[in-house]
Amino acid sequence: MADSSVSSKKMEITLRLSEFEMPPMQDALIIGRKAPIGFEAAKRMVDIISPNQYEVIKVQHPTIEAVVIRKALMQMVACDRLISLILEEGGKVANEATIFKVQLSIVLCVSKTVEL
Amino acid sequence: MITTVSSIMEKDLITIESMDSVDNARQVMAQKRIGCLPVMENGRLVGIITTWDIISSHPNRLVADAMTAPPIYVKPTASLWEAKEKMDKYCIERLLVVEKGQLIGLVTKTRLYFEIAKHFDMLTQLNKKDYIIYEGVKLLRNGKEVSIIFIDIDGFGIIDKEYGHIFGDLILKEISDLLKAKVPADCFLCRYGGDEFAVLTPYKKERCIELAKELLNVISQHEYSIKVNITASAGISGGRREKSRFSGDYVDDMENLINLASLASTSAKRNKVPLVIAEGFIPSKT
Repeated sequence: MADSSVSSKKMEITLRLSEFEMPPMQDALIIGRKAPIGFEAAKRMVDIISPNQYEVIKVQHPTIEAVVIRKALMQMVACDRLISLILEEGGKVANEATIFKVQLSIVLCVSKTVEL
Repeated sequence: MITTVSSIMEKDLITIESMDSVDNARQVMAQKRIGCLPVMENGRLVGIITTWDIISSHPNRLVADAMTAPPIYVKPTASLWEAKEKMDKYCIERLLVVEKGQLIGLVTKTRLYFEIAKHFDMLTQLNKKDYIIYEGVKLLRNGKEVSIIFIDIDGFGIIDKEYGHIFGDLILKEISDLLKAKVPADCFLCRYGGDEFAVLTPYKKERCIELAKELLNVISQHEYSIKVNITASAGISGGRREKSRFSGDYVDDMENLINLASLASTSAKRNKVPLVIAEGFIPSKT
């Protein structure tokens, strides 16, 4: 008697295309002390992908090893001030193993009184 | 000759590039069964990666991001104690050896301690002569005064023959304990040979003579466990630091000072006087 059961194998392939962000980080990256990449790797990465656009700064922090920051931001706000702000806020969420992407917007508010 | 790092270092080194991954470094270390790899970048030594660095880093990291840098190293001419001092200071287990900017070897703590143990006398618990040469070189380098008291126990062979070597050893142990208690903290005592001791001091001649007399007194006035009268003869050298007297090769200079003091102690024994002060300065061998 012939086998009545029939089997078949099919594979479904799905493609999802999206644009690769250039550069892949935004305004800053927070690199943990045990993250898959460290200061040297981050430095070489930004130097190759976005030459002269980012600065990689080693920091003294219990969980964060370095901060990658867009140079243009440092023209608006002093580097030390930016780093301490990023460490203060980033330090609350980052851990040794993570790399955090930071979006940072600076709005300058100017108000002047002029005599008519 | 003083034992240097070059005589005990490992020469066939396996290195790794700074742009290699930590995981690759781990594989090499596991395969070769070694505990560290010197890290090179364009032929230049930039650090060292150890098992500790490996276990505390993500395997994806670059070696450059996991290594210990800057590398701690010594010259091949460094003495064993200089290497030990560096290892202790930086709490490290492996020390690189660099000559003219080039990595030429590596010394492990185990190997170093094994070698240092050979320069330690188990009976008297005193260092042997290499140690005072090392300390003397440090004094000379720092522009300090150096003098040597060489103490030779009188007729010690007779004690060995009359009472046997077991009691001879007992007496030597007692003498070394007396000397240890009497030698000031800024001086260095060693057992030079069978019944000979040497003291390195940072003192001028006059103070060195005073100390030598005190040491001879303490040896002769002690009541030993076997009823024997023991005296010693001493020779003194150095304590009149003049730049021109030193050759610049401080190891050689220290050996010359010890030799002078030893000859002076022989002269003291021959002339049956307790103390002889060496006047000359033996020119360098080279």
